[in-house]
Parts: sequence; structure tokens; C-alpha cells
Amino acid sequence: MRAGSPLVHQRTIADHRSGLRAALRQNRHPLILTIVTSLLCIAYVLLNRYFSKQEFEARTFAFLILLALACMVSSEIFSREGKAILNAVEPLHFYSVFFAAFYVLPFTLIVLDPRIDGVLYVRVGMAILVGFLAFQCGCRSIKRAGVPSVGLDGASSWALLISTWIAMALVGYLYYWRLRNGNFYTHANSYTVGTDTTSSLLESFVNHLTLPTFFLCGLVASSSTTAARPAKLTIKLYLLSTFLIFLAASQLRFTVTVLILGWVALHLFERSQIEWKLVLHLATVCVVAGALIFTIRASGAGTGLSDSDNQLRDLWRGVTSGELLDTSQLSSATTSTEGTSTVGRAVTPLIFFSDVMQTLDTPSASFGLGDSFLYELQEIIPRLLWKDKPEFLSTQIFIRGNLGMREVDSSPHPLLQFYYEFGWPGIAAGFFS
Amino acid sequence: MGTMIQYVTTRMRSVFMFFLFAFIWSSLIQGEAGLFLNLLVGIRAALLLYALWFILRFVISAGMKPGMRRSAFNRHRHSVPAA
Repeated sequence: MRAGSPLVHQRTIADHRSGLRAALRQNRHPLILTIVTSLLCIAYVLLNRYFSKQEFEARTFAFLILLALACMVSSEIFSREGKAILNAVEPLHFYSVFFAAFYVLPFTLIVLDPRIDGVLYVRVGMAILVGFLAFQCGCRSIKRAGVPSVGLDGASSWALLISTWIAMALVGYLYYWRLRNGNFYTHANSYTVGTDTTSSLLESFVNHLTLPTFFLCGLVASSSTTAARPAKLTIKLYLLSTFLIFLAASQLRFTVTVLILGWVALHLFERSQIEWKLVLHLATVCVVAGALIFTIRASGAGTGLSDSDNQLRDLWRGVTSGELLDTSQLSSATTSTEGTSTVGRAVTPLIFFSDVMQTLDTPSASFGLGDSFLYELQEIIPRLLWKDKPEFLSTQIFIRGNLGMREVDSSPHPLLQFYYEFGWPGIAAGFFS
Repeated sequence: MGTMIQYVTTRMRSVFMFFLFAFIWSSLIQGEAGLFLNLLVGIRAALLLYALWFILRFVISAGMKPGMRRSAFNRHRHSVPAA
């Protein structure tokens, strides 16, 4: 073969690339160190440029905490081969994915976004770090003996599959019932669960079947019985329908969660490592879903659908005609820090947490010492047994009310609730236990 | 949270523990409306759905012929290997 032929040329490039890859692999630590140092330098320049001296110091320290957090969380999510681990029977890896989404990503936005100020950056960062380390310690405190497995025989697997079909039908009925009552589109009407038995049963019981059904169906799909094939098909159909329902109902968090759980259910009990391509595909779908949901919301879907007798039909008509999909709103709907945008909704829970910390610093405020837990304990008594059961407040409104804070819609995540109850020991003990 | 989910995962040898596993995980990853409330309501739902599964399994087992009760996995294990 001649030296100048295209084949030889291609081989030379391939050899060169593989040689480069091998060199990078061999010198991995200096490479990581270079990347981290560069990131630190860039962050230093940016932070120094945009913030006052006091803000700069706090944000710089918070950024260092963030870097440590990101390293720890990503080392749990990614394997040594660089693939993402998504396995529900390995809690340390699995919860890290959600920890990154709920805490690390929003904290990154808070630290690096100059439009967000007045947050207790360092304390919020330290709380996230303590929570993550405590969860890790909790997981590592119990040793596992072998791979967990649940043996299902034919009757058990078919009974479980039929149970999941019933659960799925109930979830479908819940959304049909919400559509009939004008509460399908989440942000159209201010909605509180009614005190009648039907709404209590649907919202408190059926609503909680939505996500576990994926796992239960996944168990049947992973069995070696005749029910495995219909179970796999069921997961795919359920994934598609719940994804579309949550997309239409403007619930981004659920939309993303069902995507992850659908994949997990199809690969339960496997040492599931995801290729980069699939991670990118999933991330792209999530970003597009987020942009769509928040653009529709910014186009006035909330007020437009508040009086509708069929919100799904009117939403479809509004989106297809372009009335409820104003693309000029895309930028502000996604990147603005207002509470209604994607970024705004992502950072609000941590800002709420920071506000709770600031309020608890004042002498007039005191820790809950378990009062929200006791309140929630009463809440689970069914209305069938407690006829005169009063209307219960949501946990976030309960906490805001006790601390005398103004009411803004933001979720009370575990970090906040543990801190509100018992302060720093609460975070450590709560995430550990 | 860490000890609880790790304990459930480690002891996951029966369908009942798997029900707990599924509902506890779902409560942890929802992250809204209060963790403790989600856990309590989730465990209550798990018990009800488990009761439904138990009844269904009893009905299906009663309706099956004795030879059909074995799973495909068990059939494979008990089959005589070809000579």
C-alpha cells in the first residue's frame, strides 16, 4: 500500500487520536487540575467584576463549596469509565442525580448569577454539603450482602401487573377529574384540595401512585414470567402518556422525573450505566420540555385557561394557533430570575431556604422542634374515618405562617424542613437517618 | 433518609419490601409538599396497594391449575436437561 493513500492517512489520524486519548488518560490528574484551576480563574474574574467587595467574598467562598460539592456529587453519578450510573437499588448513586438537580444546579445559578443577591451564599452551600455528606454516611452505615432480588412466580407477577394497571387507570381518572373541575392546567387557578372525600381520596391517595407504579411495573418486567413482556409494553405506554399529561399540565419536575423513572423501570436490577449519547438525548428533551412549558406559561396560559370548561382542548388550540406559544417570550420565560421563569422556579426553593435561615436568626423567631411533623401526622388520617377533619395547610404555608413570612409559592424541600425544625443538627440527622 | 432507603434496599427480598422501596423512593425524589407528609401518605398508599395485590394474587392462584403456578424461571430450573 502506498504511503500517500487515503487509508494510510486515515489510520495515521486514528492512531494520532488514540495516542492523544491514551496520553490524556495517563495524565488525567494534571488535566483535571488544569480544568479546575481555569474554572477558578474565570469565576474569580467574573465575580470580581460584577460584585461589591462583601458580595465578592461571600460568593467566592460559596463557589469553592460549590466546586467541592460538584466534584463529590458527580463522582457518585459517573463511573470510572465516564458513564452515568442510574440504578435505583444503589441509593448513593441514584439520589445523587436528584441531589444535583434539586440543590447543586440551583445553587450554581444563585452563586454565579449577578441578578440574584441578598442570599446567605455560604450558609446555604454549607447546608447542602452537610446534607449530602450525611446522606452518604447514612447509606454507608448499612452494609449490603449481595444483589437484592425479589422472586416472583406467575400468579404474583400477573397480580402485580393487574394492580399497576388499576393504579394507572386511577391516575388517568385523577387527571380526567381535574380536567372536568378546571384544575388540569396547574397554573390556571389557585387550587386547594377540597374537604370532600372524593377530592381527598384522589389528591392524597391516587396522586401518590403516579411514580411508584413505574417501579412496580419494572419489577414485573425484570421477572422471568410470562407477564414480563406486557409489563415492558405497559411501562413504555405509561411513560409516554404521563410525559404528555405532565407537559400539558405544566409540571416540569414531574415531566423530567417520569423520563428518568421510565428508563430505570426498564432496567431495574441491572448495573445500569448510561452512554453519553443517551444522557445528551434525555437532557435535550428536558431542556425543550422546560422551554415549552415556561413559554406557554409566559404567554398567559394561566389567565387564558382559568375560565375554560376544557383546558386541554383550549390549550391545544392556543398552542397550535400560536396564541399561547409566543416565541418572543422564550428568552424571558427561561432565563429571567422572576418566580415564573425556569431559572426563577429553580432557584426559589433555595432562596426560600435562605429567607428561613435569616428569619430564624432573629430573636423573635424560634425553631419548629417537630411541629410541622406533628401537623403532617394528623393530616394523613383519612376523611372516611375523621368526618369533621378540617382543611389542612400545605407545609410551606404552615412554615411561612409560623415564621411570619409573606406567602410566595415555593416548595419546602427536605433541607428547609429539617433546618426549620432542628437547625444544623436537624439537617445532619434528617439526611443521615 | 440515607439509612432508611439503604435499609429497605438491603432487605428487599419480598414483594412487601419492594412496595415500601417503590413508595419511599418516590417520596424522596418528589421533594415537594413536605418530605414527612409524602412519606406517610406514600406508605399508606403502599399498604393499600399491597392489600390489593395480595387479594389479586390469591384469586389468580385459586383460578390457576396447579401446573401453571410455577413461573417460567422455576419451570426452567426444574426441567430435565437434554441428554
